[in-house]
Amino acid sequence: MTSDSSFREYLVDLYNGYNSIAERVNKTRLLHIHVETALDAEIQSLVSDGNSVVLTGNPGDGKTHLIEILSGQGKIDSGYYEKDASQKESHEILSTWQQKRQDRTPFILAINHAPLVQLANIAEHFEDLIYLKNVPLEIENTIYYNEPQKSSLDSTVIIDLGQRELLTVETVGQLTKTLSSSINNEPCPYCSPPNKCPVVYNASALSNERIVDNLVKMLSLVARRGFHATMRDLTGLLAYLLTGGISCATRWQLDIDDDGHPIQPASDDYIYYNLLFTGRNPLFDAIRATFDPGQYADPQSDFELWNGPVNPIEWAFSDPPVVHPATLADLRKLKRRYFFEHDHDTDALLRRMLPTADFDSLIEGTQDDLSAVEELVEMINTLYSPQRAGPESDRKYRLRLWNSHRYSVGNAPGYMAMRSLPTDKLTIYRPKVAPHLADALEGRRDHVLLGVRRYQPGAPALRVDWPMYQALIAARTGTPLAVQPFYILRRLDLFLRSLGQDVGSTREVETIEWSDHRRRQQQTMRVNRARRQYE
Amino acid sequence: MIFETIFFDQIIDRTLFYSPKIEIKPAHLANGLFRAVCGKYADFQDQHEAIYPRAYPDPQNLPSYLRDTQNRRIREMLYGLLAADATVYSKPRFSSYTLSHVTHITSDNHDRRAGEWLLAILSHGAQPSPALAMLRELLMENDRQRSDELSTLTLPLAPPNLEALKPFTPTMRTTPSSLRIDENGAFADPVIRAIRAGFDQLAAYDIATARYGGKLDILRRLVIWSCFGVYLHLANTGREQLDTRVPILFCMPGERLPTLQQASIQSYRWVGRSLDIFFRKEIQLQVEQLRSSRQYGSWESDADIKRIIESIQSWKATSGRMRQTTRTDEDNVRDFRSFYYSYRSATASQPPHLAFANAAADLLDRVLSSSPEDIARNLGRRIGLLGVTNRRTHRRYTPQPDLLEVLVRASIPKGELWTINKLADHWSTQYGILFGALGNENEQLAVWGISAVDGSELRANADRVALLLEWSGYARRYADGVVLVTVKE
Repeated sequence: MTSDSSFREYLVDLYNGYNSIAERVNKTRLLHIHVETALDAEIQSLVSDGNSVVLTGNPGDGKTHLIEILSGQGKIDSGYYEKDASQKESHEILSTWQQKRQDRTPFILAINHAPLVQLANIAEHFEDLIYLKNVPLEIENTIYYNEPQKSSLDSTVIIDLGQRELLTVETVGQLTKTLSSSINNEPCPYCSPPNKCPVVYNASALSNERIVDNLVKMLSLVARRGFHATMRDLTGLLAYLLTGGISCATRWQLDIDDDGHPIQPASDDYIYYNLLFTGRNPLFDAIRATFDPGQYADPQSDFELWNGPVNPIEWAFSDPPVVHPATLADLRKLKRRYFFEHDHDTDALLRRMLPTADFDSLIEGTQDDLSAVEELVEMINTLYSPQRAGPESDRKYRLRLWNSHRYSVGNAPGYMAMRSLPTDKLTIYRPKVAPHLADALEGRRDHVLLGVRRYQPGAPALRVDWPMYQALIAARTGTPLAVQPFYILRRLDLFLRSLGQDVGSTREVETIEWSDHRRRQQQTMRVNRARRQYE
Repeated sequence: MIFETIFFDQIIDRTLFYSPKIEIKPAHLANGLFRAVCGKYADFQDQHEAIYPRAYPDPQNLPSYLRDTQNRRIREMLYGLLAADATVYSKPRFSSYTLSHVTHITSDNHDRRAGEWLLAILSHGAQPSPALAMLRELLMENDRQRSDELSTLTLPLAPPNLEALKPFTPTMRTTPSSLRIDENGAFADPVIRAIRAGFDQLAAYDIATARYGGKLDILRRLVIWSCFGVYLHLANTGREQLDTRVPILFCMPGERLPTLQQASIQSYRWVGRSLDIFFRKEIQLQVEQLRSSRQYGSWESDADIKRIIESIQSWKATSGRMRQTTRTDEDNVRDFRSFYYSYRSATASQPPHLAFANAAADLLDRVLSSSPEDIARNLGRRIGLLGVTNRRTHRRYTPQPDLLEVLVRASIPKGELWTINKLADHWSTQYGILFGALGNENEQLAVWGISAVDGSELRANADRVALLLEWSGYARRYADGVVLVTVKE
């Protein structure tokens, strides 16, 4: 087996999961999937300064990988490192940590979220490590919204890799470059004409700047919808895009379809833009749920592809040649290829295909925040009180604290509101990485907080992420409250309840609105408490 | 002899105290509990007429604002809000509003003393439950303080002073066996202790938000917990050991999980079985007492029993309807005899007094307006514990998010972070609730003769519970499969 084909085998195993566990892979191979970022230097610097570092996050976020790489490079040799603390008992870890602390040796720990929280729960039994009880709070403080929180840990820094955005130009670009460049263009011994080796085609495509750029744009959509891709997800994705998760030795063997008939695999099945929608890991699922250019219509490009002129110069590759599709299935595949390989304005294409521009603008902050708050407030009010509002309505300017009441389970009998909050008491907060990590981590940008002014952690706030925004948009376009997902109503309910302390106390004359959301009617009553009468 | 009085009411008086013989809806229980807690009720006729436009299209004492025919919509709105639980009828004393204030409390006795029973649980001990003071404060807010929309809306409809309220007279003279106290001064029954602990825990979270727009949520949570408490108590009446619990196996909605579904149905059937065991045992005790006192003569032969059956003057204690409205006294006598002789047959061969007791237990369901099992089932359904199906014997436990929220808040102490396994352990030991997170569910179910559940179905079910808690903001799931649950304040 040539070194090239053994790298291909490595990629196949990387997709299938075996090689994605850092402990199982030799360090040379590990370097192939390492993307050096500012985080590497930050950890090195923290350790040299005598700090302990806790790398936490979800499995696959790259904690052990980072320690393997940094230790291999001798960058954290002044410290004691524990590469996978998730597999050890909390007491054992804390005993070692306490001893290292007494020796003034920095302790470097890779540990999953849940065991870290459990570890913090028993830290009070270790005299020198009592301060670790604040770890859960410190994990939350990796991201802040208004003002960064002061660290309550002594010479210890928590780095939550779960908050790191990996679906970026930097990471995806570097990784595709490293993986693609390791596949040389020599003919594959198993793929002879008419079957060209798809791995070679995919490697050259993923070395193309335009294609990688479009891939990142698609992955950014996935990230913006709230999906957190781990390093394991991402390397698995790229390995699959290159190999299809199968070695060329077995690639062209007859397969059996669902009806038991033999089928001959086609080259098309192994091209990266089709593979993107057939792989198996959470990132592939998220891509399928978010956007497949083959499934979304764009009258402008669809017509050109179906029947228009083909200019080979506008395409990244002329081989295979672009031909007009004969069937809708062919059109879908061509639309995928168009998305990645054709020279066009991808942002404009996405705007035409997906109505997400408003959400993007909310996340990016391109609209002024006061207008964004007013729009959100109006959408929330409309969700509870869906009848058409008159031009003089203050629905945009006052957030009603809608409430309903019944003791038996069942549909709400209507929503009442006696309290409301002016829009100017609310503002938009965007997540930011804590200052001490800001240069080392690129944070996730998949939501904003609609919160009270001078927000502090724990204060009333509504997380406006994609599902929430989608629900509010749907309400504005007439979707009845009764069919909104339960968890959306629950989150809104918790937010509105939490604002109770911000709306002041009772008034002499109360205005009470009642929305019969099923009939789309609203009644308003004014009650004078002192006179005990309606007005 | 009045059958219902002797073989149901007298037993209830000395055991449960609350009387599960007529359907209790959560709003009934709220009305009864709040009446007992406040020690007052209103029965305001003018208020009732104002909010019930269909029964009183042209009431005399309506505020002028509401008299305007254009404002009929407002009255309909009031009806929609205060009759949201469908428990409002033409007279206030038969109605229970979807209430939030002492001026909404009526003398409606549909709760059948469950409110008083719960009050006894809340007020027991040197330190009454903090839920009690909180409830009183919320329900008796003065006109300036009324902090929720419902009580503010009805403010002009009630008399200006609270003296117009009528005092509620408690009926609990002696402690029923269900509330027996042990030598340490605690409730002897751990189920009652669990109910009380739940109230205390709920109040611990809610005291802070009570004055700031959280009133309706708090009332709702306490009422759901009250209903769950009554259900739990009814379900466990027939268990033989105090430290066991009749299993409540959750079967969360979603893709069908056949073996779990079957086991959940079987676990629900234990409620009926448990109640049957309880009443059968208590009726036997009652017959024993009557026999030893010779109040109705001898109980030793078939002829004696025949005479006793014929001496039954009335089957119902009050004018309430029997379960089947077409049933006659003759039907009851005929059935009683048939049941009796079936227990006397060669195969059963029970002595006359025991055969009488068992026949009386069999007949109970036909005489009462609703059987205790019906009461438990409907209460469970209305708080979102039991699912809705066309076949009442095929009910299974499909808890709704609101109920799960209450269970979580009633379980996890303030400031604590529990794994879902710890929560599962607490629910199992305190309430008999199982949902798949423990790993020993099948062993626990086997004790009750309930069929085993496929391991993958139990895991899938636990995952659904975790997801629902996550959606409700009470749990956080980590990618390594650990789910941590807490109540954020």
